[in-house]
Amino acid sequence: MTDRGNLGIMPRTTTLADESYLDFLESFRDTVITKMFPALATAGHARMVKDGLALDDNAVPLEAIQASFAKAPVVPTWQRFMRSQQEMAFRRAQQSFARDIGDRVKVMDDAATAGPGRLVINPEFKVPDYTRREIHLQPGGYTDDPIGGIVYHYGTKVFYQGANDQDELHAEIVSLVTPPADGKMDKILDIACTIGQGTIQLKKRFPQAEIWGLDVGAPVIRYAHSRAVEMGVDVNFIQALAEDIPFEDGNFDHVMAYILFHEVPLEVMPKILSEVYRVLRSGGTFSIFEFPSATQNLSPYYRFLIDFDSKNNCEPYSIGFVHCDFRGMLKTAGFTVADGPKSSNSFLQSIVATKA
Amino acid sequence: MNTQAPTPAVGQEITGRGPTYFDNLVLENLLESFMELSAEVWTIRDRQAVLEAVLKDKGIDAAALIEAHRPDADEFTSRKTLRGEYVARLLAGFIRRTDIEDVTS
Repeated sequence: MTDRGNLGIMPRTTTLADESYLDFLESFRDTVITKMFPALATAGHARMVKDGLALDDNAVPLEAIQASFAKAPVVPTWQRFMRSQQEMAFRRAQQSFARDIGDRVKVMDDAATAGPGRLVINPEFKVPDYTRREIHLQPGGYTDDPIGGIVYHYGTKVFYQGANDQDELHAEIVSLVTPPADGKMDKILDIACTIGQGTIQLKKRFPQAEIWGLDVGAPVIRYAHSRAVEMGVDVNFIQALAEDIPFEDGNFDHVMAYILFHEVPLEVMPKILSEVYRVLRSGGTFSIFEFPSATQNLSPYYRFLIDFDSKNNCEPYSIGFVHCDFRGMLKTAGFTVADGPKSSNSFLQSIVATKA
Repeated sequence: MNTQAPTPAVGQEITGRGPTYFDNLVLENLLESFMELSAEVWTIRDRQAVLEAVLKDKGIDAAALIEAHRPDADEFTSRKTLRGEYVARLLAGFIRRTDIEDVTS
């Protein structure tokens, strides 16, 4: 296997050319997001004002916002850049690690039975069709590429513009997790854990707890487990569905969900909430960090962005999430709902749901 | 409202025609080409910097040696292959979308 070492806990690509190419895209994406998008928002809002549209009225149809925005040439340029950089990044990351695919799969095979934590893969598990999407334009998605875990890891390095190379964003999110009122955190579940970045941070914050990461994608949790083994962190991973959690009633003190719900169809959301309610003990808490809800009166540029992201970054279910009454669903499932601590990512909402 | 965006099957998300954003298709293709070219330019600059640093550690004056280098036939062939692949990536956008609508399906 090509071993070019790590950058801290981030693996390096198999060649310097891949790394340089992806470094460029990371910088390109950062500029397009942090400098070009604010310019787009200003230009789009100016066009709306010129067209007689209010900026603070959620009743303005999305199509009217898009029609006004489209008159500013920066808009299609930004769209082209966003789409192409994402395609280029995931394509190159996949190509880079696919050079060593046999060795990379063997590393995960060898780690599968190693500790300190456990990896539970059920060979009879059926992957639902709705999860088999190339989310974020990642070839093979979370379910269909055996090296999807490391491709996700490096692809999201670019996606997060280098701000999560050492899992810093996950550390921040976990620092904002709200324990139950009695403080007991003996068993914790991280649903939709992908490569276990949050799962590992949960163990660091709650070292005495038994911690499980759950995800539908075998490639991502196999990578998550091999990574935890390499780091010597005692966390467990299981391939399962959040709407069919294979644990007993009242098993967990806390459940965390980081950016899960915008990735599932509307009809699945209540099933997940019902399952989380079931596996939480009385007084247990559920920390949710998620896309915003339209009920929060979003600025036109946010509405434009969410729609674009859903349709151009393979986020097929996010529009449904943003426009649903998510807090109402939580209450219907039986939870008491409150705002959670906000993260430095102002885009995300933070919710703490408590089981009575 | 339609709450679910259509998605292609696994394996087809970034391999097909993909979405477009301009009325003028050439603008799409030029911008994608610009991005590929820019990425490649940076890749080369980065490699050059690393190469020179590595050689400097070994006491080698790379600039002078590069000018004095005389490639053999195999090296020419190899470089031609790599160059062809690079040009293919550079022009991929123009090849990917050839008409203002997809008339093949």
